Amino acid sequence: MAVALRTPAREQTYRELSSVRTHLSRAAALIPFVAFLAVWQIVASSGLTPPYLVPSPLAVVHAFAAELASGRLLLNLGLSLEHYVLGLAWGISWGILFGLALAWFPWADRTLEPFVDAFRPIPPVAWIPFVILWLGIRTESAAFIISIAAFYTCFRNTYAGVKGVDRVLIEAAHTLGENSSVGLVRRVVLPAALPSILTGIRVSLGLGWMSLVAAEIFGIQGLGLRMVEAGGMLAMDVVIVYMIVIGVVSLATDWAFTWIEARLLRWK
Amino acid sequence: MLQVRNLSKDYDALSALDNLSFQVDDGQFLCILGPTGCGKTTLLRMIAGLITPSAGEIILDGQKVRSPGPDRGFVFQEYALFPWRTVQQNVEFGLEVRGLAPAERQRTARAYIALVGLTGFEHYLPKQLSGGMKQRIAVARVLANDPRIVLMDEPFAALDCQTRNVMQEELLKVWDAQQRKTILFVTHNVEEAVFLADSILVLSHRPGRLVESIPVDLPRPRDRLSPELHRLRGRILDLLAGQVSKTELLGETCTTI
Ligand SMILES: Nc1ncnc2c1ncn2[C@@H]1O[C@H](COP(=O)(O)OP(=O)(O)OP(=O)(O)O)[C@@H](O)[C@H]1O
Ligand SMILES: [Mg+2]
Repeated sequence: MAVALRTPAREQTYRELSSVRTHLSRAAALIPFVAFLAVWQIVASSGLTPPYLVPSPLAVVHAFAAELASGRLLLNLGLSLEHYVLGLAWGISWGILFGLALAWFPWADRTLEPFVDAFRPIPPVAWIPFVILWLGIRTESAAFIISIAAFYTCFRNTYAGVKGVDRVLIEAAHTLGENSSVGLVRRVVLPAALPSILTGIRVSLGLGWMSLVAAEIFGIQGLGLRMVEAGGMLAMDVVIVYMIVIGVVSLATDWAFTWIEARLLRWK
Repeated sequence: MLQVRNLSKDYDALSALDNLSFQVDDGQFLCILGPTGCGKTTLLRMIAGLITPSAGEIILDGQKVRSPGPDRGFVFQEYALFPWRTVQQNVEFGLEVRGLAPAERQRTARAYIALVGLTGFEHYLPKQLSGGMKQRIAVARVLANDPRIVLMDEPFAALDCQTRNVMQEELLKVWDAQQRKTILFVTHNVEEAVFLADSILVLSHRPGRLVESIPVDLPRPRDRLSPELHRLRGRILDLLAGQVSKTELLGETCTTI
């Protein structure tokens, strides 16, 4: 008789074992990080590479403390967040507005869609010379560059989301007495297109950090500019500090948004 | 009273419905029976005002139908519940559009949810409901709007046989409780039609024309297994013999337990 009897006590042990196992497998995700840090530290302290090429992890920690103490880190973070929030607010709201209008009104679609789409293949960074010339080196210039990618992403996603709204839901609303365009959009079209719109926003949040660095490199103060300046001075430890800061903040934005998204889309 | 006069509908070159005329008195339960593709959905959608006729007119209480309105409730085969709204919020939709105060909306919606037997499910989302429950909510949502007539397009076709029989009986109960609103009920299923209807409109193969209008003068509640029902069913099947295969119109038969 090789059949193990599943007594309550054994069940308990199985459960504990399997919970230990899941914890272990989660912890396994840390291994690459630890290994990476270890190799980095070994290479850096081996003396094979000059410190300005591969600063040690410890040097990065020191650089972090110095940037923090001088107030530069928080100042640059604050400025960058200003560019980021402003740029995304513009890009996302105009993107959703255009996506909605073009997908909802056939005449707007016919007249504007080809025009709006014609500019899409131009990479946002290509606008920088114009923006700097027209707006100068200031917050709005960085925000504008950031807004371009967000605009197209939100525009495309909203457009597709609205076009994809199940017709029967609109007909149901019609037969329940909702016949105004504003009411239909508010009560049916927007909620139905919300999953697609939120995807657009989430992708924009990621693209925002990429265009942020590109926009600031042209002389607008913020995380990106500080990073490039430090690179010019061969202060690689400082560059790494800013890489990590941007990475962490961008990850945090993504997590926060995913959390909000899950809450808004519980009905899915 | 609903009057349909010389109604036709063409989709480009295809004629879906041809010169159909009939009228429905208030409080009638009318079933519309006909082979697939004969224009039943097209007919209901025209009455609802969702599409415009190619010729002819539809007159409800002396007024020509031009656009959709809450006086003609529509129950869709695919339920068409708003998935982001709870049961309660779905039923409140029409009341919200009308601008009723939240307290009154809530009270009315609760009453109709109770009417279809779903008290306790107010905060459920559509995805958490079975097909039968979804269709009950769709019916409650329409009735909460207090329409003049209710248009139902094969509302129980997606349900299994057992559930369908239960739903038919409950629909009749609700209909009674609601002072018998006029109902136009499209179906493929002869059994369903003879069980529910005061009168059955039999349509021909596409383009839909009126084959015959059959009054069903049987007392309610009806017994599905009664010889009268059986005889009527046979008559309709004979009538349709030239139109379609019998199996299509019989649907699956099942005995309630
Ligand atoms: N929007 C449309 N455009 C073109 N043709 C259509 C459209 N809607 C329906 N038709 C055609 O009109 C005819 C009638 O369609 P309808 O949906 O009214 O039939 P039905 O009687 O409801 O069929 P079923 O019993 O299968 O639901 C069909 O041949 C269909 O292909
Ligand atoms: Mg149909």
